[in-house]
Amino acid sequence: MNKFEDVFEQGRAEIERLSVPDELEARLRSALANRRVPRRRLQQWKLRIAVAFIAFSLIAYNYDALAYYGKQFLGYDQIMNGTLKQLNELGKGQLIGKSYSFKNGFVLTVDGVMLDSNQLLLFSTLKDPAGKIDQGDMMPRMIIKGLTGEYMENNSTGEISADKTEIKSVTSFAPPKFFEKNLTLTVSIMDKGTMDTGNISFTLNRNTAMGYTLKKNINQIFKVDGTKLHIDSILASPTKTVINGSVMNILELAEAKLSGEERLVHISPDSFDLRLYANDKELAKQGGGMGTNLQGITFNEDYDALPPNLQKLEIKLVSLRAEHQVNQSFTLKPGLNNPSLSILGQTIEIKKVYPSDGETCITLSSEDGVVLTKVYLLIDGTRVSLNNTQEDHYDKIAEGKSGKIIHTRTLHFPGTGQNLMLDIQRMTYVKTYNETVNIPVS
Amino acid sequence: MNLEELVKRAKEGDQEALVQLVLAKKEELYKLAYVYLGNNEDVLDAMEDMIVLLFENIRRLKNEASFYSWSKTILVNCCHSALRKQKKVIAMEKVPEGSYLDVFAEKEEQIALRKHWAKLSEKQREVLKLRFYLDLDYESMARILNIPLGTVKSRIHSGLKVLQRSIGGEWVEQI
Repeated sequence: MNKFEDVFEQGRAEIERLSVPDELEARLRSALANRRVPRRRLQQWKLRIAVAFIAFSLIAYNYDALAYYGKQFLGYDQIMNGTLKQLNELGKGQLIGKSYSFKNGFVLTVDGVMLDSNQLLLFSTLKDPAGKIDQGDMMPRMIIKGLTGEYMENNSTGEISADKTEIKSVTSFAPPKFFEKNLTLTVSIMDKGTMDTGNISFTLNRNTAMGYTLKKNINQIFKVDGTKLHIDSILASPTKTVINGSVMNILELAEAKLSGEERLVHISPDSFDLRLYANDKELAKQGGGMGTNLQGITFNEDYDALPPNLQKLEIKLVSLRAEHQVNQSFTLKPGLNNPSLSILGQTIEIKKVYPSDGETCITLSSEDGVVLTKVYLLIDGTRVSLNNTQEDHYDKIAEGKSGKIIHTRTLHFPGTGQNLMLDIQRMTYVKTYNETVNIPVS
Repeated sequence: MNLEELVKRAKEGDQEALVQLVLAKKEELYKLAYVYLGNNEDVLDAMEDMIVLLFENIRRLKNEASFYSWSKTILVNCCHSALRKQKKVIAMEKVPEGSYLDVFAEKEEQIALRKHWAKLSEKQREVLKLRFYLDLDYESMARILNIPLGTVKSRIHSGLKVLQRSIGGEWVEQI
């Protein structure tokens, strides 16, 4: 067969097989529900006069209050968490107020920055006077350049205004080195396939920087199921608290590789549930990350800032999800009465086995977090791999005081036959540990 | 009821008329979006976005007869913005079934042909898919994508050339 035609044939056949799902009609109707015919816009000049008038009367009567708010970043209420709001109210940031205009009419303004030992927070507003901000490149890429290097964007939160003329966002960067003073923010947006890049320079005012509140080496290890979770250090600053650790250090990594162990590859940032308690109260988790470098597989977990009168600080490993070898096969019968499977202490209920459209479908349910990561079906002795998983749904089930979530889904395997055997080679599941490490705070 | 009447009623704010208009060509629209997004859920989301935009902007449509090419343009734009969002959001919390590394390698073999696709630019892929998956002619593509006819032709031509070089097979001029 001509390979050239193959390239198109696969895709074309897939498109031709498609049928429009029945739910489309309902979805279209529900999308339109509650939509009214848009009102004609008020004439521009009328609107402007009204805005000017309202602004004037508000400023005239509230001059004192405005002087107080003068040191704060305004309009960020929705995207700041409680801690940031408090710091903002205390005027802990540095106002900047510099802009760059992109060629497509968008304007990016840096309203200000907030700096402590954990991060540099950049408060910015992206404006589109045309009111079509959601149709352009909504998230400019940002890099801060200093004397010696670049500081990359870690994460960012933003909100589009109701009239779609602006996006306010708070972007977190790694904190600049202590000697950095003059910084340049490089912003770029994509517009019609080309990149538009601009620079905004500003000078850091170190007097507004907030430093840290607690810095400690911890060096504790959670031993879990053959894997070691090192908790290396904690750095708490007014904006957030960061725990640094590693899954395996470089020696353990080498050892595991030599012994042919593969488990470490399957730990991802969301594999473990690590919580931080200050004065017996859980701190909200803000994010985290994981990377591989010369020190092994390292991770950081970010939490809210510590409370002011800290007496007790604990790190708790609640659970860990890891991958396990199974290598077991189970005979299945078409229909509803298959016994449930018990694998490594986990129960998987086989609800239904049925053929449909030339595929064999297996509906099964298990506790949430149990995933068959390597699974095959033997149809009359022939091994086929999983096509896709559909119709996921989750049910909450009350069990005494606590509840659990049951995940039901249907696995689709290509082909049908009489003798079916489910070959489960690997699966992941969540194991609960509830182990605690105490961190001395004095 | 014919097309123009339905469009007129939709312009007056009749939601039912608009739904009927979309449903009348649901297959075409659904497949068009599927070419871009490749899965049912995203396609339905994009079509929801599309009908909302249609409803909000239909009064600006001057020529009633061009309703469908206009809605296809809007649908394509919805697909583009959905794809842009997908690039930015990578969901970590869900590990799908069959996500063990070996399994990926197997799937890759099955779709080895797709590596040729990777050599094309996004714009070339777009026109080639529309041309060969949906059998659209050059004029309709130009209308839907809102680009000149010449651009469509040149993108297809250059795209095919890249594919030819990548595969190294016979050059089939007639497609």
